Amino acid sequence: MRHHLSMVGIGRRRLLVPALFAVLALTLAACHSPGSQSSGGTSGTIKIGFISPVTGTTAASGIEMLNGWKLYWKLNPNTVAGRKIQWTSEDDAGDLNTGLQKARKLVEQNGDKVLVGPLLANVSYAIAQYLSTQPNVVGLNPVASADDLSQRKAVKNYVRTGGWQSSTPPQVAGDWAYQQGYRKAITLCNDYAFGQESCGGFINTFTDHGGKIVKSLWSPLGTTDYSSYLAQINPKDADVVFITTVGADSVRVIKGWSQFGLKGKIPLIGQETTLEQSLIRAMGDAAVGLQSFGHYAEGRDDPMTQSFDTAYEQEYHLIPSYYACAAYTAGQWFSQALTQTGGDLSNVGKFTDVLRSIKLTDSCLGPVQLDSHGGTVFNVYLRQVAKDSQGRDYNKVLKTFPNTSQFYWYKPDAFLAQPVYSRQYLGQNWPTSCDAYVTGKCPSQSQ
Amino acid sequence: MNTPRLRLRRPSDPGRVLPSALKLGGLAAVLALLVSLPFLTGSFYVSLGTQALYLGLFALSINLLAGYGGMITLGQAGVSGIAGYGLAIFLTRFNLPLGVAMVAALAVTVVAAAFLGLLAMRTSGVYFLMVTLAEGMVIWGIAQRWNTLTGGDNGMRGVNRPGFAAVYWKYYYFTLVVVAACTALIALIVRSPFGLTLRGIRESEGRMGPLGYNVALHKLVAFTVAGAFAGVSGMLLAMDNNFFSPASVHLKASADGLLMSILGGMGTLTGAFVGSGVFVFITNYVSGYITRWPTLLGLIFVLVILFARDGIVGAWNRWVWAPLLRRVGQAEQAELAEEAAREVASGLLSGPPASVATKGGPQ
Repeated sequence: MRHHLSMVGIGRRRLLVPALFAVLALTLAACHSPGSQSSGGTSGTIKIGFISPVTGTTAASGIEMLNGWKLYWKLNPNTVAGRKIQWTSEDDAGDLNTGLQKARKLVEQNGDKVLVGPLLANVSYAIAQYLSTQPNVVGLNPVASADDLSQRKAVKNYVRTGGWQSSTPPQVAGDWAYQQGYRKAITLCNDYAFGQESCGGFINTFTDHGGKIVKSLWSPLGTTDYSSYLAQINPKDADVVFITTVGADSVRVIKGWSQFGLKGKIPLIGQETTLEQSLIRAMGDAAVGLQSFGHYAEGRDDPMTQSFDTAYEQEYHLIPSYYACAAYTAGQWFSQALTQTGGDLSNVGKFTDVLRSIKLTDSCLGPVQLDSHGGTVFNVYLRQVAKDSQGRDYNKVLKTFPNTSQFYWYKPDAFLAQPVYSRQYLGQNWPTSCDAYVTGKCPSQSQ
Repeated sequence: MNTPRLRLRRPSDPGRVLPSALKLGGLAAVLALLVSLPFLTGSFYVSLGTQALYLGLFALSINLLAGYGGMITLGQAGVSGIAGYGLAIFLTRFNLPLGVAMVAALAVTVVAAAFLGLLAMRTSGVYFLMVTLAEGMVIWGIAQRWNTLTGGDNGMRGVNRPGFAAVYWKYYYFTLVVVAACTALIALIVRSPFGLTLRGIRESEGRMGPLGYNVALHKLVAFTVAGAFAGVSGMLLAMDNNFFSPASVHLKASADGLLMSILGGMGTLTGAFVGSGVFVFITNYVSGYITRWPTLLGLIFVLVILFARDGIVGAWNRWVWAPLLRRVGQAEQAELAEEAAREVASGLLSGPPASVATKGGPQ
């Protein structure tokens, strides 16, 4: 027994000692201190990392987003202000932790100085948090629309470039709906941050006028059967229905809307994503004639939008969705800023200031610029689904609400003193006085 | 490293010396590699290492339940999420110091795990799976909808790392030490009489009761202990990302953990870490080259189930380790290794459903 033990001891020692030496040697040999990241500099290649979900539940939209970005660099020279642009894309699979690791990979492994993306709001919050620890990296956010990214939780080096705020189009919609003579509304929104911010925007401005929300319905994201929700909508109870859904939910709710005979009985107002180009393709006749509010309309009668549509169709044989246009705009936005600084990306603080001062007059979205909080000021379009000459659904523009701010008719300070829209706060009883409005905009005074 | 069965036999022939020396050498080499990782590579791979470590601990907590106790859970991310959210809430809403917040979050997790275990302990097999699935979904629902407490879908920011481990490589070492300590604890637990009883329950739940063991109590304790380790991993994740959100609590996170556990090898300590390593590598590295990386992950999983139910570690034992031992004339040791691998495969993946069938459902 003793003999065996000692042999075990020798065996251990024989292998442990070299192993320990190996550790020691590696420790001493490779004693590199983790160096601080440098910025994009003033010359040479600029490396850009692009993150979007090309697998998973949001893959369809994520691929369109990537296509829009690709198209920009296909149509435009990949040397801007004397600097070569080199970009790589990564897949976040619509998953927050994966997205965060991908951001780390692009910045820390690839050495990318510019990060573009992602699509989903919750992934964007994680990336915003990461960017706040990487002051030498410029973040461009073309799609993720979470309100607080340009309101209460804005990050200096993470700039909306072609992006939007979830609640901005619905805030216009609420005001507009009341002016159409609608007094009682039913809301149906997907029950997560985006849906809550959208419903909050509509309810806030609609009730400012004195409109009543008679019923608020909340469907979980990924609801497969909308019949129980649609059955609760009685055209006699209300004048109008506001709906916010995303992805496959939109297709189901709009098809159900037709099948339940609600279409034509009671007006529907959709959020941008409810009647989005990539989704109305699957809706057919059910969508035709329905109205929605959004910051992009593929049928906008404007040379820039039309030429973008044509170029995208030639390349991908589809009418482009807002994801494509937004990512395309991000390329345009970044190039313009880089041209203005003469290719200088050495001071990220200065560069993001330039990014924030860009005014694009010729984007496929329409004129876009940022307010002092970093929120996009853009045209909101009242859109209606129509059929084009080939029988495909598209959104045409009925009315344009130019230069709409994320604060709509509220004073920014008063607006920001409130929490972000959620199930607990939908702006129903706010504001209580005219002080919260921009001068002359208080609806109770103008009536 | 070690499969527990090998230790239990304690053979006293000289043939044991060489294999154990080889094993110790291997262990030392792996440890050396882990310790020297920050010096060998850049920050991205080190942060992947950090992730693989705490996900490995998470998979190990599932393994403790499923691999040793035969309780396959689909709600473990919910339990680990209680700790992650607890830490975020204590830090940002109550402004507690990090150490206090960690202890408090862990305490809350243990209490919550005990409660969830109470609901699940009298079921087994597929019924246990369903109860834990429901529990996980309830926790996810709370995380998603109780905006004022959890921030809803937008998640919670501001979960800072300990001051002494703020830099990525220091955080890696912090994680390494915590995970190593937890793994050592789990190794002690599975080798203890309690661990042996758990394995007895896995093999035949119906017989353990008449033999005088309080089966329900053992399952409850196992669930609570596993919950505590899942909680540690949840807190490590929150601090690594400086962020916690419903995505980390979702069913997918639970399923990923189970997948890592099966991939690596159920009922082994090393399997969880091998599984998490493969998972992290494919998700973060291979995905840069292959667009359809989730398919690749699925394919590997299918292959493992078809050809190596005992996971990568089991396959290693059967196809590399045992032949190696035979070559150096250690036939008996080789058979032991093969037997251990077989037992893991049969004990887990065919055991519990059979016992459910004979009992005809939960009491």
